[in-house]
Amino acid sequence: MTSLQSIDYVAIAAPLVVALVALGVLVLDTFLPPARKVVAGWVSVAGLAVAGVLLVPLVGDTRRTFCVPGDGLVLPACSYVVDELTLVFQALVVAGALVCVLLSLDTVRDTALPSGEYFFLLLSSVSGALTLAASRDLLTLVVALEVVSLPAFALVALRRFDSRSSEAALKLFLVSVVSTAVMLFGLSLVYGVTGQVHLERIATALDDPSLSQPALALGVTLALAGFGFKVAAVPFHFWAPDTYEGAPVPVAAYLSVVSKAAGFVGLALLLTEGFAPYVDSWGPAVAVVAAVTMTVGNLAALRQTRAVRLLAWSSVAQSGYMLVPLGSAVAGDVDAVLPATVAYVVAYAVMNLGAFSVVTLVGRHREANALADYRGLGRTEPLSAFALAFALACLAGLPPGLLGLFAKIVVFRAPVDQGAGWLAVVMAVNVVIGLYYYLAWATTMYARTAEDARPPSYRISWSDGVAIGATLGAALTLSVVPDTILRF
Amino acid sequence: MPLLMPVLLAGLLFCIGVYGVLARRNAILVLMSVELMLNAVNINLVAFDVWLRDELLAGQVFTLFVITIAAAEVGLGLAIVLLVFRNRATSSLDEMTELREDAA
Amino acid sequence: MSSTATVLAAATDTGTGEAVTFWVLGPLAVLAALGMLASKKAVHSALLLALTMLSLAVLYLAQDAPFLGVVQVVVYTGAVMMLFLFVLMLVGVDSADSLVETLRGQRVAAVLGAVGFGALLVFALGDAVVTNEGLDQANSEGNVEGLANLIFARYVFAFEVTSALLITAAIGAMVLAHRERHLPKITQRDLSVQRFRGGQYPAPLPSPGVYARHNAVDTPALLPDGTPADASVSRVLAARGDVRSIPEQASTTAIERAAPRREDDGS
Repeated sequence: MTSLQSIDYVAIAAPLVVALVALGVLVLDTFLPPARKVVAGWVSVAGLAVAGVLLVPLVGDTRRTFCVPGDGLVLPACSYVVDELTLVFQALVVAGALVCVLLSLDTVRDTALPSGEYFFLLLSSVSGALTLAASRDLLTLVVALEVVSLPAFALVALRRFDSRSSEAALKLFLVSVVSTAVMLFGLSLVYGVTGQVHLERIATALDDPSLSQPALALGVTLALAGFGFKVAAVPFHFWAPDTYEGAPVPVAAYLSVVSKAAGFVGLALLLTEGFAPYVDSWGPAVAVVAAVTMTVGNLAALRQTRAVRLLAWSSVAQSGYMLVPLGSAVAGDVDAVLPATVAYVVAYAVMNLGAFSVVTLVGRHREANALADYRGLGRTEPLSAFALAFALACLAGLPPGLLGLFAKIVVFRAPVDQGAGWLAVVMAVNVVIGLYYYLAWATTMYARTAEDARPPSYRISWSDGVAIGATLGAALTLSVVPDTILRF
Repeated sequence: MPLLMPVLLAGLLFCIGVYGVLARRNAILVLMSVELMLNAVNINLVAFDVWLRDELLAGQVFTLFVITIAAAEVGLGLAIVLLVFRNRATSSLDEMTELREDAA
Repeated sequence: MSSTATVLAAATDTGTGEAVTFWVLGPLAVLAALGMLASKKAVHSALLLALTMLSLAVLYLAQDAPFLGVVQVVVYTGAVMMLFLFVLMLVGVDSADSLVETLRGQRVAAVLGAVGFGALLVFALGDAVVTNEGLDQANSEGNVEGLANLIFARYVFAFEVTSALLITAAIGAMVLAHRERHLPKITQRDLSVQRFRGGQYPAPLPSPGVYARHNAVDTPALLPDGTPADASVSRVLAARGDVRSIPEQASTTAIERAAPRREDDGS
């Protein structure tokens, strides 16, 4: 009754290559002498670059593979689809992961992390994120989400003799498994009511009004929980500050950008493809979560004195902004809110990675990485300080950080257009609150230092320089030509 | 066998699991409660699969994947608990206070 | 009310064997889960959870899902729960943990929440039973071959991704739980060198005194010159003050021995 599915290897090339390189790095590392462990990192960089190149032939058309044929009653459905949305997120994941790997090279060497395992875990998580962006059925979606998360737990805990690191991993792990269990319970109800696992078929089935509505409402609500954790939305946010602080800084950057982007693409797929007919239920719920998330994140960020913690709370707040378009979706035209979400996620990735690159650099020399450690950075490290200041201006949405400003305007327009004015007001208030702590940090770097306190001057390694330069370059370019990301 | 009964059983076990997660203070016992929640998911999936007479047996396949996910999570999770225990000599969540908000 | 009637009607339709299985195992699973929640000892919790899982496995067997039933026993009770017990033993079996009420009225709220959740499910799915007649359909294949066909044909991609998940979990667990040796292993040769270099007494310590009637660990041995060897008695006993003094002990023994011999000689 069944035949093997045809496999489009071009479509799955990127995650496949990343997974193979991950295994290769693990094996290669055992043969490397201790002095040459950095080779594993360079192989990872090369693998990610190859994966990025493999995405190019996919531009401009929609490829489907691993399909289940229809039988007259139901449409054919595919598990793995590469369309424009998928490609944007896959490109984002590959680029973000490249920056994280570059930042990791020195961290792995300086803190004596096991390099083979480190890059293996990082690449495994990346291949999970690439798969997640393309998955179109509940099974693949859930398994891919786990492939993103599981290596992240191990990465956070990888500083094995640091009790802060293992505490951070335990907190991340427990919140994650609980939210996964809640999400799975919700998905089991959705499956039970619709009888389908492919997102397109779920959407078709949901149009049937005779379905049990309370069970569906319960199922959809619980299913959102799992992705709420991934994107650090309230009330699944409190792992973020502790975990970012306890993890190696590049891993925190990875969690806050790549892993969060993966969470958003999963959430967007589930909501706009699977649960689209059900927008009247989840729309308002997401809107409330968005409003609470950005408010909680911003208010907590105001009181922070350490850089990584501040970025953690700021990323919680930014998640709130990213949820705004999804929260203002209305029935009949759900896909209309996708471009704004995609644009903001891409912009956020660029600016947050920019901030994290400089924070990683400072963290190499200042263990505490307190905001006070940035005093005077503007004079001793003018370029890094400029990169950080520009990233902060973008995150705040203040000129000259035009990238952040445009992204915020696009997001802002969604609730206004769709008639959710209150959400727009909440967001506006939050952007103003955000201005305070981003600008306070930026001005610290250019503040006068006491004469006796010698301001920090760092030797910037090659890989750090490339990471900082690339993110700064991307942020500047997108500020000048924002149409590139805003056109979706 | 009515559909409602296994689903109610699943709901009950799920609630017990949630309560265990919230009330237990030992990381290992919290993890056990999570396992109970995942088992509740499996009861649901199998019951729905049998009820739907799903031609693709999606429910049973889903259950297999959930079991796999649970096994992978437990393997890694217990390794993390061991690591914490080695560094801290405790597995109590109440003592995980090294990372927290500043008092200021 | 109507939903209850439908449920009852449905119950009479289906095999009574399955219903009996359910009504025996369902409550058992719930009781074991409650026991897991309430038990103070972690090992008891683990064993009760294993009981819940075993009942569920039998339930799957009764529900046309034999493969899942077996997998449930092998993976959950066999592997996962034993891993739990293993780690519990490592971390300390005595890690007792009682249910602390961290929030006021937590239990009441929990019970109310559970009842509400159940009521919602009854309301939701009672409705679903009315509108669908899936139960009337004949039993179709719920067999192992069908499942295998589906995994390797319909859901092969998710299956492959699962393999990535398992490899990652295995390597992650290994790298975290593995304790790396920072110093070279100390061999027997190193130990003996260390003992002689230390300038201390290299030979084994003398054993305690052995006398005709007082053969005890609390009595020091006598050196050839008649003085007691303090090293022959455990330091713990010395600290407690439980060591018997030698001279008097030795002399009384000698006198006691000597006296009867003389009497014997005399008679």
